Amino acid sequence: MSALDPRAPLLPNVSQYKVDFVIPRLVVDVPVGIDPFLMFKSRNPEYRRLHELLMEAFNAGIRAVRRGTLDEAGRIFDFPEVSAIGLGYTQGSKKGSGLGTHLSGLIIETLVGSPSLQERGVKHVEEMQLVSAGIGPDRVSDISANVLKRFLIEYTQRQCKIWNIPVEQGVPVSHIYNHSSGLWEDSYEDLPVSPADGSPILLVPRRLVRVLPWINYDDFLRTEFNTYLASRRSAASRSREDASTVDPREPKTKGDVVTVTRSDIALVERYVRSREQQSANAQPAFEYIDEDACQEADSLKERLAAIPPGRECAADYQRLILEILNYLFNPELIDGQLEVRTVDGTERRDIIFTNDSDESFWDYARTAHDAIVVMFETKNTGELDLAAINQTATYLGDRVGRLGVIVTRRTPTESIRRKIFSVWNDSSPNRKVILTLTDEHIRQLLVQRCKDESPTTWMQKHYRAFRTALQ
Amino acid sequence: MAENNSKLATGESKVTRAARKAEKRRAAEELRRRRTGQLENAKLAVERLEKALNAFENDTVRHRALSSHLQGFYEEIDKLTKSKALVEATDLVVQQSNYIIQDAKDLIKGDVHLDRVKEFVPAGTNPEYRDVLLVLRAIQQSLARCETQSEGRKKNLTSELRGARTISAALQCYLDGKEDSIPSKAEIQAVVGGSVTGDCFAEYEDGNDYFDFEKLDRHDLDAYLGQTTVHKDQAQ
Repeated sequence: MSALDPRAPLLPNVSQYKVDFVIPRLVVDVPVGIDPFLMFKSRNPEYRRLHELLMEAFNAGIRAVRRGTLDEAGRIFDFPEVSAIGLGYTQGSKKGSGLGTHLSGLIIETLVGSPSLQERGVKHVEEMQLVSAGIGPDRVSDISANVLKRFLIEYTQRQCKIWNIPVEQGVPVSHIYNHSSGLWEDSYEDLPVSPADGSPILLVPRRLVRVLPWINYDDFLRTEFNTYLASRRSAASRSREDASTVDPREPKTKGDVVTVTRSDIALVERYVRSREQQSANAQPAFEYIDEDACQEADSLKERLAAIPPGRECAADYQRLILEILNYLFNPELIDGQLEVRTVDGTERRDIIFTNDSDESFWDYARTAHDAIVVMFETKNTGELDLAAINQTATYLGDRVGRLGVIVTRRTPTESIRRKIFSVWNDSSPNRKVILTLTDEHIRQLLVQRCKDESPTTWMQKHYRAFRTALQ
Repeated sequence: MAENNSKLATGESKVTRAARKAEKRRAAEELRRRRTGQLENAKLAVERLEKALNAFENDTVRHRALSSHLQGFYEEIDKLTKSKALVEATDLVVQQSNYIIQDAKDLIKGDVHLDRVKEFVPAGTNPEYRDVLLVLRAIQQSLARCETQSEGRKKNLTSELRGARTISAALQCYLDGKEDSIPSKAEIQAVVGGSVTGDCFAEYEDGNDYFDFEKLDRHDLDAYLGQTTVHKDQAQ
């Protein structure tokens, strides 16, 4: 019997590049964590709402401490490790310490010892790292996973449907926070399970993970706290000259530092504000992906070439395009979904991505074309027809924004190009843009990605070429 | 018998004279109709040429304003390029550059090099200063080329307008005057109120210049009245 590779992915037939979520490993954790700041800064309303829910739950605990109902606070601050997400820094296993009762007590103790923190509340769960010696980055991830477990369950079910990942019915899941009642609940859910131990698996969006949270203790120490110490030193040296006072003792351990921050919460406030201002630099992690990008690109190229144009292979083509787009643009374009119907069910979009990017082109698309979502229509045909353009033009509007991409096999004819131009010309003042991506374009994009060059830059040039041709 | 023959001959000559008179009257009416038609064409040509000249003069004012604006803008971008060649231009610089490109294209038609210049589409990333500078330089050159050509175009338009006014005035004098009277250069100058086109006149035996209707009839009036220039001008 061969020994199991503990680092083997739980979903062996799915490439990390081609999906929206972090693929958990068989035995060990993926060395990243959920960073709530990525929800806070997201353009995706669903993610921003998640951050609000997280903060509502955490601040409910703080209010309980302020009221003096410590039992209630202990009940809310109950954050055991969510091993189902398979993220963390535990060596050799998926069971970390979690916050557990000990650390719940630590949070309460911290809050009790800092009236200013009780008064202010917290804007980010990550701030707890700066005021409590026992809370590190992995705990921040645990807190988020606990409070947002309902979202993770629903997200996992959605992804399993897209990628045909087998699920087991009625898997017991404990400790799910009910945001309406403020209670922890248990439930039975349809979820994938680990072949190693049969435990449930929860998938986490790639867009939400980082190695260290954006707001973290090390960075705080290096920046805000260092400045604070420097100003203290300079004040001390001035007073020595004046009155020959002794040098004050400098905080050295985390315990010393949190004693300072608990009493001077403005330090935390200033640091958090500066991190919020730099939010465009807060990017999700890539480091955990250990697959060969070029091998993946070659495999996608081969699969694309193997699909013949025609209605029979339309579904295969559509699915492959979703994989390719994930490979190219995730985590800039996220939560790619197939066959998305409108609320009334009358329209069906082939592929929809949420545009959560900080890259300049996608940011521009979001602003100039209301493209908070980007729609991709897949046409596995030898020749694009006018009906396809009309259909795409009809779909574009307030609901899905005004930037649509038709992914097709060959370069469109001149009359189709003119039709696409007329869609732009006739849609003033809210111009609709339809770009086309052919097999050749996709091959170029895959090469670009393999060379570690940004496919978004390619898209920007492609967009510019379209707009310049209109002049 | 001889008396009868003489009466007959007298009767015939009366008929012939009457016929000739009628023929002469018809010819005179026909000529008058032709001159009236020519006058209408000439008036239309004058109107057209005046409009073209006005438009040309407006364009000249716009051209001067754009050249002056571009000169200042170019100098500033040139300075910025020396210190920030690889830096992205600001949104304001890109916007102003695009206005200049639009205005230049609106003003100058048929310049292949200007046609190749396109407005910047930042799409999230503004062009570098050195690229902006290059484009502005191309527009400057195009404006300079256009200025050289426009001097010749203005001369043509003015000369054609003078010709059209001369013809129009001559025809008007002819139609207003006595039958078959040919207007003199002095009469036409008085109507036009300025200079007239010299080659529209011929010197008569009395030593004075009179309008040369024969020459007018020999030419294709439309071509003679500057249709070609106006059309060419509009196309440009």
